[in-house]
Amino acid sequence: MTTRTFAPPKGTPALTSLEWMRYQKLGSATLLLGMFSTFFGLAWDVEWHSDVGPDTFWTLPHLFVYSGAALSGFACLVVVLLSSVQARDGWKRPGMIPLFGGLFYAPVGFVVAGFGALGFLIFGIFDQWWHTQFGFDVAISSAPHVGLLLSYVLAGVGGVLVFVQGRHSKPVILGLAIAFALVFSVPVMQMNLSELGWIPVLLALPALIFPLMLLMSASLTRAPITMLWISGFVFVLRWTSEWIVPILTNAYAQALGLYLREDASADVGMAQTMPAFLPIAALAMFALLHVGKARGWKVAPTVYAAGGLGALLTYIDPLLGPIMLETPYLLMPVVLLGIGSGWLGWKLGVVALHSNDELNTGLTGPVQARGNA
Amino acid sequence: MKHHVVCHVIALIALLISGVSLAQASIGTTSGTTLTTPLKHQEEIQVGPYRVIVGFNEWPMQAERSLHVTFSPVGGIVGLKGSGKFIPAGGLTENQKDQYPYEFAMTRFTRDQTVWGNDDMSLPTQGPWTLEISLEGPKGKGTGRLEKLEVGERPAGPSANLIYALSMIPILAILILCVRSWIRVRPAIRRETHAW
Repeated sequence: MTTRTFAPPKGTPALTSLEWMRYQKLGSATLLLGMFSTFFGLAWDVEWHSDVGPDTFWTLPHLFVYSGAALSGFACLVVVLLSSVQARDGWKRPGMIPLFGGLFYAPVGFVVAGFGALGFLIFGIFDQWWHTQFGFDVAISSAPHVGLLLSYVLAGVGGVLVFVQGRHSKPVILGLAIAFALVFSVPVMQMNLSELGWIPVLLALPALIFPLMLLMSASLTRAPITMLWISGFVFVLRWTSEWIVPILTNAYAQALGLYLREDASADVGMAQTMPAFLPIAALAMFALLHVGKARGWKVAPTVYAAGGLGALLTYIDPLLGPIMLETPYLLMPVVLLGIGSGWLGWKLGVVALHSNDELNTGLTGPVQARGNA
Repeated sequence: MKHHVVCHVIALIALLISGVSLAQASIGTTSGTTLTTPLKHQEEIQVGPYRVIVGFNEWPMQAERSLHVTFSPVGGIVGLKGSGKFIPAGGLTENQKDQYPYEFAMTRFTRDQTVWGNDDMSLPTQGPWTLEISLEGPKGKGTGRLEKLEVGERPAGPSANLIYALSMIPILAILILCVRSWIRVRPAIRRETHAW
């Protein structure tokens, strides 16, 4: 353990607290914009491949995918550099963590999201080389694709952490960040599992992830309404992309002088692997927690119930339900998984709630300077 | 403060301009010739009463390398219906059967509407393959085979398993992040875990 010395900061800070807050806000908004761009581009790209055909690197859907990753990466880089400059002058802000042995100091969310975006771009370069060897994409689950997509799942986690500010997390904006992370992560995992033929995992995955993330948000914000915000945003993103992507594909194919396949289905894979009516599950879970809170029910059993019910309702979603119910033997495991993952999510919310306090210890004022005694 | 507003506006305009120019570059590069791939090799198959010219954009073919295959019946595709099958020496496994496009219906090629074609496939294994085509039209039905289509070795590159292993690093990072903060915070002993 290094001993830290406390020295007064030198001169005036590079940024006032207010300016720093504004830069962080700008950074987090840009990060969200990048995440949206990548989700939207990928939804379009997958549909484009299935309805029109292979392409070069320079298609519009790819442009959205890669510029989104670049945008979020740049946003993170700028915030990390700005906070490091401040830390070097002795002005440390709440929530900053040291990186590479104190070479950089930055808020944890931007660090994680930045590494995710970096991973995406590195695997992206590798993907380009892969194409020269193996030709164009015939599968989503090609090896570099898996790395690229999972890197952006990591970026999504970082994107959520940016808005986790201990007790001050705002339900709406945290809900938006979680929704962005979910609409990207769940479909990419689903599509890969489908190509790998891991069908039971594929069917059970949403029932694991959605209760986990919803209950994590409720626990973290201490406001069950956050679950409604998340499900609302997921609902809007899912249906908007399903509606708009085929229109764009038609227009873009025409602009390029390409034809749609005869068996083009206009199916937007990224949208269709998500539950179509998540707000139903979220509403039921919200109702349980709300009543439980008002009547002072014990927390653990209420959360178990909410998790199990949420998993069940996600599983028998009105659109996916008919497919899911062809495997009725999964119903029981799904409910059990929901109970477990719901409780895990609730506890992870507490972890997130407190991890900032832990990080903040000794860093709350602009008084700590780097250096070993 | 005003200085910052100006900076933001400039940054926004720069983003918009670069976005628009990238989009134009993208349309410029993708339109025209880049998406049409010349055929490198042609074979002829007699399918009952029909003669079909099969075109390949990769020759020799390699396992796992993507390719375009076109099917062009002499006299055109109008009035004809058909299907095709790529069969490896040992027959298709159950898993392969589920995955199109080793068995496929003849549909128009998206890059040339006068012929049939398939532009998103690769043959997974090295060795001799058989292409079987069935056609139905005004002159009746027929099936024809093109035997001993040699598929060469997979292109050089790191093994897929190695890359899949590398691909798991981001998930590992998420796990480490969760486990580390979990151990630090110890949610089981926190009041919030058991309170609303």
